[in-house]
Amino acid sequence: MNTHEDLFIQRLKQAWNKGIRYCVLIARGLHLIPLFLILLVYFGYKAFLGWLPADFPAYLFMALIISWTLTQTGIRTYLKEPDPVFLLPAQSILITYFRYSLVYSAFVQVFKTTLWMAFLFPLYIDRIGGMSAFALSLITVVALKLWNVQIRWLEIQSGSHPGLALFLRGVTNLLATVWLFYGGFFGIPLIIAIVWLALVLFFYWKRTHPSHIIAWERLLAEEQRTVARYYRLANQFVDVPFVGNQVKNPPWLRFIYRWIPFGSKNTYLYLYLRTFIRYSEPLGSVFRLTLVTSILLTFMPAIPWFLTSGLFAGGLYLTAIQLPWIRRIHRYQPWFRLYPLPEQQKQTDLSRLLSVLLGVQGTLILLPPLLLQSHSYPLLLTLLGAGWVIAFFFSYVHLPVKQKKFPG
Amino acid sequence: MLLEIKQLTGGYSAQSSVIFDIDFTVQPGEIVGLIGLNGAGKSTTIKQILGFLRPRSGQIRFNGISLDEDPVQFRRQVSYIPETPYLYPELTLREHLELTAMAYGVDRQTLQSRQNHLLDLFQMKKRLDWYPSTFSKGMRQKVMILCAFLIRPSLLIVDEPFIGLDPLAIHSLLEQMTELKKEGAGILLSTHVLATAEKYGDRFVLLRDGRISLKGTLAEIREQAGLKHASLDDLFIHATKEDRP
Repeated sequence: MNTHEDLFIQRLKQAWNKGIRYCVLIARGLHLIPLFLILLVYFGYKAFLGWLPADFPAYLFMALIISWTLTQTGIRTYLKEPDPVFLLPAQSILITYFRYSLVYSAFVQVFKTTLWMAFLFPLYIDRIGGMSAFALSLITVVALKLWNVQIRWLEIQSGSHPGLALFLRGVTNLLATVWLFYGGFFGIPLIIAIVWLALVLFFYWKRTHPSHIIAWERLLAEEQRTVARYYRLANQFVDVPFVGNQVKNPPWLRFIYRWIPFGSKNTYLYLYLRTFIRYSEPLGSVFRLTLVTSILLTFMPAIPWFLTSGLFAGGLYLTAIQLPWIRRIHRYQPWFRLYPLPEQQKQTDLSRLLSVLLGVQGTLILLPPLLLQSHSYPLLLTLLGAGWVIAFFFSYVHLPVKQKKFPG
Repeated sequence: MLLEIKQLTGGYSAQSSVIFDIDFTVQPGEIVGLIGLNGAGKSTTIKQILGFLRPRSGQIRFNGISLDEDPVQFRRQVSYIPETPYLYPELTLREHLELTAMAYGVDRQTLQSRQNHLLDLFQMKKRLDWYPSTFSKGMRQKVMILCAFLIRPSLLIVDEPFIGLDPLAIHSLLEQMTELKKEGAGILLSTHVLATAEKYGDRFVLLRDGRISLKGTLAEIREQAGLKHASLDDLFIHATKEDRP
């Protein structure tokens, strides 16, 4: 690295290279699925526009989506944990570094907003206004986005409560976009809006520390949250070695802990159960997959039995392949390697947990279709039995064989 | 003999070794200080003993059995406090203790009484339901110490335990180590705090560039170095400077 400009650009390049590599890896695994999804969205959107009733409040719909995307404003700094120590003495580097970061974040955020506007363009033309009105709306939305980026930056730097800024930005964005898409924005409302935006900007600017005081902790936390979000997304498709995973203890699942008796034969089960319940992933992904599979089965009653079975098995399989992570995450923990228990128990305890998890998941998936009678009873009952068989086979046959082939 | 290391050679890869011909024992009821500069091979020796690394040659026997012969029996009596506190982020302190008790076959009643005593000693009672993310480095270290003493091991292996601990915790740790020693356990203590090692250690192994440079009681290593009234500090400086330009 020669100059300070290089540092941000270098990190930006590294991040993009890494991102592209993950995208390629994911795309390879997905085969033609993204193409199907694009076609589905295209035809679905067309059908949606045709289906929309004449009195549908399109302006409100657009305002909700656009104000949401305006409020969702992140700042990318590419900061790393050692930076507060190593970069602190280099004040001139930091000023330029953060200027680059702000410009880059603004660019990305404007791009994201423009994409949403482009996506909503057919709806706008169909229901709200013409080309020139759209262009004017786009310029206004972009200006609003830039304001959001600036406020977000000042909010992080000032150390003020994030909830207040989120509320202020959210309400401002919603009011401005509702007015913008409803019509009659360009006039007195625009002047009021500009004054209001300037007031909020001034409010935060007054509270921001001088530029040499840097809110390292908040900036690092923001960066780590963003990176963790990307990793979690990638982890849905490929095995990511580092997943920024939050630990929480959902109170409504605490009753399950009591089911495991105290004793050395349940040691790993005790640990695995807590790992499963308290990490935001894969628990979140199991919930999503259960919900999506169940909704699809419930609301697609007309599909042939083999597609229903395939969908059900697919939901279970996508869950099952993520769960061995529960054991894998502990492989470098020294105690986990030292416990005076048979090595085999690490696997059998995992199989015990997974068989029940997958069996219960299969049952939960089938409950709504059973209650709403969206498919025939014999088919659903067969699937119920098959779900438990799949759970048992995956946990006690497939997984141990795979573990032997690829230990670790 | 509790722990017996014979002609141990090994390292992080099969091609190159970091430690060479290491030879020492830890007897019941004694503290052996493992001492050396950074990179001398202390942690590597410990990792070899625990089975994290496979030796290229040599033998490691605990009460006459090797790790390969009976890993469960080997590990049942051994407890380890690593240099870097490495906790389960998803478990509270209470659950760390419960999990350790389960793994080492400590019953609930014994767990309760030992846990209460240790928590009082290390001022951690109020933190029982806290998660590691809320702990300072010293507190994390205390969790490792609590778990290690919970199982009352026959052999305790401690890798640089004093860094980050408050003075009271250091005192409690040394008190626990002395108590464990009195009960007949052997302790292998790797540290840079030489004054403490000299005060509490019965024998010492001084490593230099992966080889033993001095070994024995303080009197024995004084004799080996030819420095009659030297402190462990002096002996350490002498051993590390010897033959250096």
